[in-house]
Amino acid sequence: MGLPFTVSCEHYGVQTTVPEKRSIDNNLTRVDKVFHNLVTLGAFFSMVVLAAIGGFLLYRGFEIFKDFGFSFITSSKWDIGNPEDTSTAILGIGAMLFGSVITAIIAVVISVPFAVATALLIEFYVPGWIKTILVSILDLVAALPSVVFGIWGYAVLLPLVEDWSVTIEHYLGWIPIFNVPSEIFGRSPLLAGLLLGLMIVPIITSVAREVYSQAPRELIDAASALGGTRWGALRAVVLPFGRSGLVGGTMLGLGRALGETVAVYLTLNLVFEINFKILASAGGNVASLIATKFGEATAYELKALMAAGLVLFLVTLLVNFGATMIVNKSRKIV
Amino acid sequence: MKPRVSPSLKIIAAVAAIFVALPLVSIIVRVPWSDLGDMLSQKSTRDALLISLQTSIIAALLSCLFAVPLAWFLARSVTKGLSVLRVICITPMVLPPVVGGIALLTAFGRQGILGQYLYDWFNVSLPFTRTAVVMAQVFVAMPFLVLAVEAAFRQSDEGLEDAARTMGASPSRVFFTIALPAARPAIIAGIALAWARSLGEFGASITFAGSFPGRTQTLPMAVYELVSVDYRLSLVLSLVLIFISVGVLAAMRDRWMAGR
Amino acid sequence: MSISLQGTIGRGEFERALNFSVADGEVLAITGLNGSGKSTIIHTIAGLVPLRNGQLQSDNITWDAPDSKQWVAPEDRTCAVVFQDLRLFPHMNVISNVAYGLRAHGVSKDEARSRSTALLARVGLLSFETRLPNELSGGERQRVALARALVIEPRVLLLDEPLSAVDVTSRAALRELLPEVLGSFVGATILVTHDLGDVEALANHSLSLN
Repeated sequence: MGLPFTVSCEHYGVQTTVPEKRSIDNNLTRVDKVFHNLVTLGAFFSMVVLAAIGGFLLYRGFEIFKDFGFSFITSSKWDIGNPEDTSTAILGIGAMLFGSVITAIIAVVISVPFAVATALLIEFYVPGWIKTILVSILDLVAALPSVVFGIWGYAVLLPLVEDWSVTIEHYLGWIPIFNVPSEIFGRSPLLAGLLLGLMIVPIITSVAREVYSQAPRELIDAASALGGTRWGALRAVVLPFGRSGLVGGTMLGLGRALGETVAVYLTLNLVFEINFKILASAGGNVASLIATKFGEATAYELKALMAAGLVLFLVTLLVNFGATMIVNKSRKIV
Repeated sequence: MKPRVSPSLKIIAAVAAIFVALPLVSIIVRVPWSDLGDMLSQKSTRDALLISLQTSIIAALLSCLFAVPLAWFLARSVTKGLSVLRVICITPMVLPPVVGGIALLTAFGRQGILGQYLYDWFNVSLPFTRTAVVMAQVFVAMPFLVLAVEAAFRQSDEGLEDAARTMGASPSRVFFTIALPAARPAIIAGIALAWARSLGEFGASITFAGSFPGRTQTLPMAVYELVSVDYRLSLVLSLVLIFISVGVLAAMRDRWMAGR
Repeated sequence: MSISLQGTIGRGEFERALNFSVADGEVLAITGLNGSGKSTIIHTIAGLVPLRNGQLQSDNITWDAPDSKQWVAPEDRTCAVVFQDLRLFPHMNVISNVAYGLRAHGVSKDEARSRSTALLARVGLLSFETRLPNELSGGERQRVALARALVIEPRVLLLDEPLSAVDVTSRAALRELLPEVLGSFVGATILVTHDLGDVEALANHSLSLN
């Protein structure tokens, strides 16, 4: 299948494939030419539109990069100043970028163990019906709109995390990242990160399952036969085998967490300061900044938001590109 | 051998299942059931619901219209640079939706690259209209459909298509009578998924179409706006979204499991 | 000559120079070991694989000649194939499978139906019209494939191992049916087989690829 053509040798049960370039599209009737052109046109249309994204954003945001240079990325002040005079504006997405990264990191730290355990369970342990239930739950989580997660984070997780935060701060407050000088807990990076972690479990799990399912069964059985437990065999064979695939899947999840909008908007207080104290109620991320400010932005601010969009676009593209490379590489080894 | 589940894994699995099931249960518990009828019959709620249903259904059908030929092209063409095309086609999958919305605005906005001509020549302005909502949803949902249908086309038997051609069928007839029926289950499942995704779409729509009640405000946008105003109503609307998602998945469950 | 091929097929170690022609009413049997490129000949004549060089002609029309860039698309060639793996359309019932080629050639629905029914009667499958391919036995499927090829009244009939995928009893029945069908066929037939018994029973000429 998918090969140019196949010569079958049913006597020996061998299939010999002869590589041969197919070119059956040489002579088409008029209807088929139209059909073919239509399809090609559709494909190229999407390509042009999508390839233009980066260009458009750069074109629109160029003025901002020219005006602020590198400080647009490092500075955390967002002040449009006098709307009539753009030279009074000070715009920087440093705090938002930092917020994007720290919430995404918390999300990954929380979701990876869950995803690995779930993938191992589904692939190696549970009987069919439990597998069905677990897979359905994961599908459901993947399909739920993110605003539903946002509402849940706001309604249910927020009070819980607030309580936990108070406790953590009480005992571990001497560690800088757990310190909350303002004593204002609640809509903190920890909450947003937890929520994002839940949201990216399905994507990491599905990549992990795919890689683990390709682990050599005979090695697993051999390791079990040597007297170890099933878990020991998995730890010795499957986990190392799937490591690079898991890294790729994690980066895919990271990309998703970096770009999440509404769930972060609902669970993180938008404050323009670089906040590494993950229990304190301050932060934000680039995507939610764009969604929040977009409606009533001035013309100049709009350009800044587009420049912010470009930064986010490049970061997620980079992360996803890396992820795809790693996942593909781990597939090839198999 | 019958695997023995180690206790630690059992515990982790149980925690994971609860962790994941909690959002549903807790929202269902907190919904003000007694006022549900009143809340759902409010004009603003009904508007958001109707706009959501209208736009997402149109978006799912449009996605199908574009995605199926595109998937066919990706699966069967031998043109060079196909992998580049594929990467570009699925870019919206990894693109943050807000960035997608901005991109749509820079392309089709009144001062956009294409939008300015649309406005100058045809007096058409797309942003902040219901058409913009549909466009944003198509942009976000279509790549998933393309990938699903392409996989189905790749798995379908090319030999059957060859056989049809030797019987005198033109490429377009082969597509409609052989390839399309073979991929139909995947296409239907893909449309349902694209629909669910369009329904929950937020980031691209709010940047490209805005959140104007009765005009462009969909259910997710209404939830977002209502959180600080009428918290209970936003819970009710979330519940509606949950029910629709669960419904879509339940309807496709058999198809779902067959592939695993 | 109804069909003539003079040229090279295959690539690398599968490359093979050929020169043969078959007149109307004749049956040419092509024999050879597995992997010798027998199926490739069928696919080349049908237009699913291009010739490496040389030319393929039918009734003085050039179907494939890479040197002069002449090419006739598979759907425009007046030949019909019974594939080794049959390739019946799994989502269509027997009558739709047989009528498919007629419909593709623009024959009206009613006419396609009546002509297909007549052919099904000829191969002894009259009561099977509404069955799906996966509800048939190997021998029955083989007959459907044969009817599907004959119904479009090709000038050239290409049979790729027509007796390979059936059990012993069906094989005997098909051995009786095939000479009868081929005897009344007006065009040229090319039969690919690895079984010398088939050559004896069915062919006028034979060509060995070893």
